[in-house]
Amino acid sequence: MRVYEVFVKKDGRNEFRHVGALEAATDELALVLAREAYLRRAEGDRLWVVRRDHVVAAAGDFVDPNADKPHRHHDGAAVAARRMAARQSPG
Amino acid sequence: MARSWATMEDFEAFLDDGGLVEADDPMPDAYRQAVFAFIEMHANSELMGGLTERDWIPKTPGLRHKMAVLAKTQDEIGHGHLLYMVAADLGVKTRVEMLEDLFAGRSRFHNVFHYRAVTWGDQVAIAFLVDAAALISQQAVFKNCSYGPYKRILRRIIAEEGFHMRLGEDRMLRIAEGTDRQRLMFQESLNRWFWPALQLFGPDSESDDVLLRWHIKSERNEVLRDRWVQKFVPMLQSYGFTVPAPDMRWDAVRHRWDVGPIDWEPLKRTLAQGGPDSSRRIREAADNWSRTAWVRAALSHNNVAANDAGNGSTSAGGS
Amino acid sequence: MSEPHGVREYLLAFADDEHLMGQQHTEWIGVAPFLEEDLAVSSIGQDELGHAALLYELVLDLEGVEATDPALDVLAFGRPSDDYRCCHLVEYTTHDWAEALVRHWIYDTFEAMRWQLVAGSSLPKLASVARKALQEEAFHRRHADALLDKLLDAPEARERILEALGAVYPLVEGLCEPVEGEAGAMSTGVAAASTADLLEPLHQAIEARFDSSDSIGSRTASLQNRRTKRSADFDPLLRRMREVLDYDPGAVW
Repeated sequence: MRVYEVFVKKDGRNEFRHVGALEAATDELALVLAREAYLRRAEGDRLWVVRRDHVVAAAGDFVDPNADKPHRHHDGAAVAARRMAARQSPG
Repeated sequence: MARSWATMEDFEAFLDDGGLVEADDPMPDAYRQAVFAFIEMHANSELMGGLTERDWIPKTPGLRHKMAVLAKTQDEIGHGHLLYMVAADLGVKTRVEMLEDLFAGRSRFHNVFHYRAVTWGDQVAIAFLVDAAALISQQAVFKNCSYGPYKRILRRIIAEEGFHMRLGEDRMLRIAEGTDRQRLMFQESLNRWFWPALQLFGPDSESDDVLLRWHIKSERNEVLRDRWVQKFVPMLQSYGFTVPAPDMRWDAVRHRWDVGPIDWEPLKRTLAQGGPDSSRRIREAADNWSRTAWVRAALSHNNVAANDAGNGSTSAGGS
Repeated sequence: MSEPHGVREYLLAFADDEHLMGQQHTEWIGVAPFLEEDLAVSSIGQDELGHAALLYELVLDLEGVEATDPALDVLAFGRPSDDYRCCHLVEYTTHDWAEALVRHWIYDTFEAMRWQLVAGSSLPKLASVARKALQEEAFHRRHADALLDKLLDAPEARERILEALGAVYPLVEGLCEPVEGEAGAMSTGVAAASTADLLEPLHQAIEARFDSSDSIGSRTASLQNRRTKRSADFDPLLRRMREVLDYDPGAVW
């Protein structure tokens, strides 16, 4: 048996979301079994199953440096303060 | 966020801060073992719960009723499935090892599922009282659970347990509004299941319970147990049933029901030696497991030759 | 047999088959070969019981009885065993999972063809039930096929499956056997053709699927006498299904 990761999408607004995993012998069985394991109450209208060994995963510290890039997050509060100040002293 | 912790103090500070641990984090081994044991016991309990209900499903009185009951037990088995998948990703035991340990009588599960449902009333009592107790415990774990994959599947499990409680209450109401024989049957079920359901929460938590310290549980056992008592005692009484607790009294000062002293002996005996009916159910499940081994063997057939075998322990790790 | 009686008997035979097939699936709860399969079988069982409920409702419609749960349960559980019109294939107590899987495949292959016969029924409600059922049947067959694709490829499993086919095969003839009232259902346009017409296509499908004339053997005539005779497995099964209902006949559960 292989492990498959299961992804589900609910209506047009949302992205596919990872909902869990299951074991299955073939791709077809993975799809068939995923429906009753994860969509019994129509929790989504689209279903993906992906073999876990086909997932290309980043190591934990790969993304971390991007958590420290403040120049990509313009500070709305500072802009708003200056906007207010400008309104109060026109000219 | 650098996901490694030099010391247990660092790790605990991370947990106290509301940090969520993921399957591929280098968590302390003691934490890994504790989370694994907790999830494995939860998984076993869901499956054993399904096996307890299994005895009565083919006899469910009513066609649409049977569909609803089937869907409920299917959810319990489904919860077992979700939990075994998440537990396996911790790398302590594989799914097969967990099931084989359960079938060999080597693993633990909740005390209530050691007993036999001897009447249909018991089936309803389980759906009503035991599911509610399980739901209260699970809600408390979900609230503050530090292990991310467990917390995420608990959201789904809790939503489904909500359906079950409503089903259980609806079926209990039909009996409460039903014939004398029905009411007598349910009273007897209540006499059998009230105390085991109450004991599902376990004895009062130890002051140094690591499950609390590591934010796997968020509330003490006695707090959860009391929540259940305050909800179910008045409910059962309002439907005209007698709560089988002779020393129970209303504490007018605290405005609470006090069920009186709890005899933990049956629980200890059950956990130590197995309960009155668990060995039969486990044997039955184990027999079926071995009789269907050929199916699992055939489904695994050729996977290795095709060079695409996956045993689940690769890098994507967990849900 | 007059036409309304014929239609009633036709619908009952359909409903009884669905009911018992669903019932048989419930026996696998918690003990299927693996957990994912447990979930799938349970869903299929729920679907079949759902079809039975909708078909029993149509019978109550014909009788002018309101389709409440108790009225439905009288039809489903409360008839003398001689009045049931199920086939022996769905009454049969399987001995292992291989037999259960083979029966599941054969029954659902037949069932999809049977729903096609009423997809354009003169009973509008039956036609609409058929549309819903056909969607569900596509899943049931895909499930059984996906398992068989893999199992028939593994030597030991193939042997077990073919042995199971040998055990179940004599009951195929009866699956397609019509009730006497079917003529009434056909003359009123409730059904487009006879279920007997499905026998040849079903045999062909079985041969194509299992590819083994050895296990199929020779065809066996049905012993059901137009579905009026029950097999030895039926009475114990009905007793089991009625156990709680019989405990207190006045009760609503």
